[in-house]
Amino acid sequence: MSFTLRQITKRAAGGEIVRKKTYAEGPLRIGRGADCEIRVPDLAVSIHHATLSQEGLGRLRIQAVGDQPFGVDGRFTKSAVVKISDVPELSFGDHLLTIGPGQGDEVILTLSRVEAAPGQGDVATPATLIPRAKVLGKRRIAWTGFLLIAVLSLILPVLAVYGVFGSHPKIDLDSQWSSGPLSKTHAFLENDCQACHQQAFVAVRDDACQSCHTASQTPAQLQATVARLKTRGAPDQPLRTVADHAGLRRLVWGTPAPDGWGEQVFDYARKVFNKPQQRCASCHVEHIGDPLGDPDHAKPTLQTAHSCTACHAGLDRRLKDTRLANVADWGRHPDLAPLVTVSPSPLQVRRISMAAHPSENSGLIFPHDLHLSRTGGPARMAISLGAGRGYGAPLDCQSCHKEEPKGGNYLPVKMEAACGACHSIGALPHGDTRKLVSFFSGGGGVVSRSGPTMGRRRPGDPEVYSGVTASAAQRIRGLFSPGGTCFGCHGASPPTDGSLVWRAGPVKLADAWLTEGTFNHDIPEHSKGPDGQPACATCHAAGKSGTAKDLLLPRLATCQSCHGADRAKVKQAAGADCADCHSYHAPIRPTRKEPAKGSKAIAVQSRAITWGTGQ
Amino acid sequence: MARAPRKGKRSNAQVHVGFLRHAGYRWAWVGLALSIAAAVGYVLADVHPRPNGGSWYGYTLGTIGALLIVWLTALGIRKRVITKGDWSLKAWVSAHVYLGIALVAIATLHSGLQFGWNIHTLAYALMILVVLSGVYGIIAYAGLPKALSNNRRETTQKQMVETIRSLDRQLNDAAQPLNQRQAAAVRLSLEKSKVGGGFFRRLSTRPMDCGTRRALRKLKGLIRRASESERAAIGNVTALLDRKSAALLQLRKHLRIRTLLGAWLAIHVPASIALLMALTAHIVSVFIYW
Repeated sequence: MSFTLRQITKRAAGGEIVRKKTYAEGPLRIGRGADCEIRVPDLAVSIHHATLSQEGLGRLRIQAVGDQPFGVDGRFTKSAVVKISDVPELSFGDHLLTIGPGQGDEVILTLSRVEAAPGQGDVATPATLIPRAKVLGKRRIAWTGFLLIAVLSLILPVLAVYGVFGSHPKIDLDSQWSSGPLSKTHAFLENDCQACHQQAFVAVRDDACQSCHTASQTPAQLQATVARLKTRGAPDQPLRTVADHAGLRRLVWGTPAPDGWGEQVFDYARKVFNKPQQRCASCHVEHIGDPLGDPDHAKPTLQTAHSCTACHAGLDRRLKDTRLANVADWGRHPDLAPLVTVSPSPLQVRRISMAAHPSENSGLIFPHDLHLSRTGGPARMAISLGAGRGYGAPLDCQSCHKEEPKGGNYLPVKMEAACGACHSIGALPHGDTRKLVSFFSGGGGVVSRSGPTMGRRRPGDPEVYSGVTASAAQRIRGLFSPGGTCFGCHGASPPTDGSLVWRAGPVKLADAWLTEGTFNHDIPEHSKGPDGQPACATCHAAGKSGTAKDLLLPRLATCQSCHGADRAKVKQAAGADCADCHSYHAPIRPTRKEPAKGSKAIAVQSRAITWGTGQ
Repeated sequence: MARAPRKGKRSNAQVHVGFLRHAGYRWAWVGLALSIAAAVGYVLADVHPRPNGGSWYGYTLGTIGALLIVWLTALGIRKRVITKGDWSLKAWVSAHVYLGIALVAIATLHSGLQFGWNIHTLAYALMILVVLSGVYGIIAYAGLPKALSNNRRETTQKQMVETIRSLDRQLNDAAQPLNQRQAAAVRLSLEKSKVGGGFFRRLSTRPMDCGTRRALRKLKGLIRRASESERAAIGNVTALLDRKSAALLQLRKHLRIRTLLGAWLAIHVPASIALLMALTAHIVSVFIYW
């Protein structure tokens, strides 16, 4: 048996070189060694890897020399007997040795190298050198990011806005759109964008705010609102309800047209983008809290959309039906316009400017000058009453006008407390002349405090009716006649219907004259002079007032002598801010400077004007 | 602003001016002016109660910024069309670079420094990422080509690969007399000397698992027990392995520089595309919750 070895090598330029060698007989050594008959120049092959020998007719035995196996038709083994006619394929490393029959008893052995798959040559090819990143290609990352953001940050939140996932989905998809934290009071709404943003593409409307904050709620409704907020997790603090400055339409009409091209551009932009400036949210701004600079962002940030005078200067030109006077600035602020009692019965009040020198007709006869005189009868009476009864000195304002316990203003003057020490009416009922009739008809006697033996009579001492013999009619007539107890303050007219009921003039004393602004007597400069003594007379010319018809309010010029005055000239000069006397939501109050801590819910209502009931 | 000087009547194409210096830094000045104008406006704009994207000035800057972003992204389309003149691709790239940097000022002022975990800040962060990667790209383009050239030393990447292939063939021949263990060591070099691969592999020039390195180490140990003839062969093989090591280092350095040159784009481009969508979501969300 002869062996012909055909060794095939590839040329670099292409094509093959076939080298032939013939061996007359076996065995043939297969290996990398130079002495091997079948030389396999492959480092994976041993120097003497295997031996090929004849094994009977038409068969060959291949026996590994060392531990390393070889491949026979794809299987690895250390020893094999193959049939030549099967054309078996032996593999050694990267080389293939194909055995095939030749002419006669010739065996043809063909040795060739296995073609490397692309990219798996003997050395890295350019393709493997700089492989393109497969998973993280530029385009793949780009489109992945694009789609992720599109789905997570745009499509899903938009679907949530339109209620596809129900009104309160478990995962809050749209809060990622919040541009900044809400204030603490509203923080519980952080995950409920639609509490305020009720309509897509529509700026937050007042309805949303008013669903909780409107002042037009009854106490029961307010309680229900508070309870509802509590279940939503609102903070444990009072709910502030506020009244509108004016209706939205009036606000819009009252706002002046833009002035100058810059304002016109803003105004145009606001119209185009449908963001009117007369909304609650125009001034009360959320989402712009600064978690670093202002962690205790307690309530929405206040941003003034318009100054007061922006609208109130020339307001009557835009709001034809307004009752309010124009205020261009403090210097042109209209004079104080108190609500004056024009007639006590029937009650008629009218707002009259102090410039028109209004006179009040409260029905009371009371000369301030007489009572405040330091030498007249009242003064001596007060001295004689003594400090034990709260007097002891000539009368001053505080003798009758007592401060409110919480400060800021004065209590209404009540006859019994303020006048009673001097103008005693004893046990006589005050306020209703019909009660006098039953008092006297029922045999009620009057005991003079000082007794009839006293020589001098105080004003109001019941001398006239001290006699027990006089009839009820006589007694009542005495009270209402000149010199009588009642007549001095009230005046009177006799009964026309034959009864005993005299008609004393009813008294309607004003609780407040100025109902659209406020004045705080507690501010030291407002009530005390530079010497620290009460300086009521600066504003109230009571010492010179001989009749209760005098309306003892100052003119605005008195306010302006300090407010808005030149600091260089006036020692007590103060600012002239609208907010000192008025506020936006409740013009009767000054604007709160500091957030009131722990204050109760304030339902701001225009302060009701109550009237004294004929005392 | 002065145009690039022309020499005689020749086209200025012969005097190479890079995109950074294009037209006497025209776009650098434009970008600077834009940034300063935005900053001055920011100070002058009386925005209450604090600067924020929802103020009139915020919307103004936001509109400018959004238009800029769209235009800057359009470079991806523009670069595929090459023209000459003032609106040449070079001019466009120059404007792209400087206006892109100015965008940082505009967008930051637009934000009013109001950041949070929201879509708005995501858009801002993506924009910063895009600009930073772009700035890195400029720096890379300024220094790396020279390093690349120095490393190549008049050869091409193809030649470097050929050198290694040739060394491999020689190694294969020189290693034939070696016994099995020694040959296995050489095969490490032939089969495991990987160049390239993933991003971090491409950045390392002397990987610990380099087959050639391991082959050299192993042969050093095996030479003591080798026969005389084997020692001679090992000497040849080691010399070849040393040469291959040097060749591999050069190729790896080449690849590392090329990777560094191209890597920024792998951030710049995807982040730009993501930014476009984040910007859309940013704008749409603002108008929905108007």
